[in-house]
Amino acid sequence: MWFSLALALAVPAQAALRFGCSTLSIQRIDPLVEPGKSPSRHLHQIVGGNVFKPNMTGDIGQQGTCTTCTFSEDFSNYWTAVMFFKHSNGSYKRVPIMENAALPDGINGGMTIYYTQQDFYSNGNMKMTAFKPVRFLHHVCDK
Amino acid sequence: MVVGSAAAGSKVALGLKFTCLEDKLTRWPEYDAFPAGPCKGGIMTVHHFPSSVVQLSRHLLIL
Repeated sequence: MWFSLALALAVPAQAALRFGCSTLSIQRIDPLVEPGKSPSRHLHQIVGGNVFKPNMTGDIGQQGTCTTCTFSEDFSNYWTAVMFFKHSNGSYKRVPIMENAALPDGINGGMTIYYTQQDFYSNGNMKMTAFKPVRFLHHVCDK
Repeated sequence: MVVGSAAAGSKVALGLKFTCLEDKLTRWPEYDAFPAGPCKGGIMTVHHFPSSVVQLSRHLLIL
């Protein structure tokens, strides 16, 4: 995952941020694991800003102009693996992606993004500062 | 920031959780491994960043 945004979450108030993001695209692209390579080895569902491409450089928050996420201040992209169902005849079919039914209508597929401090109920001992451009990678595959 | 490993050999990964949905609003319990059987309402996956802190999933209860 990848985000670059300047969020001003108040400190020291307890703060958490949650928002829905519709599916932007489903592509074999992975700018983090395989930058510049198209197609990448794995298929991904991508949500977020319109700067997404095989090789992403610089501050995406400054480059984006729109997003599939609820907050227009955040042009980050987030992507995950895509799941397939293997039928008994050996064929594979991509599993549909369901939007979060607990969020207001208007999100199609996609995912829900959380930013929390220690957790949803507490800041813990942590202080939050505005994000610098950063990339997160969480990868479990190739099994 | 890198979390996890592309070369992971286990189906259980720190920070990766699964919920077997009875319906669209099921949010609990979270399991460490992918559901072994069918899930009536679908499967919800949760990715925690950073995954060194994984006991944070109770926030999902207030979805």
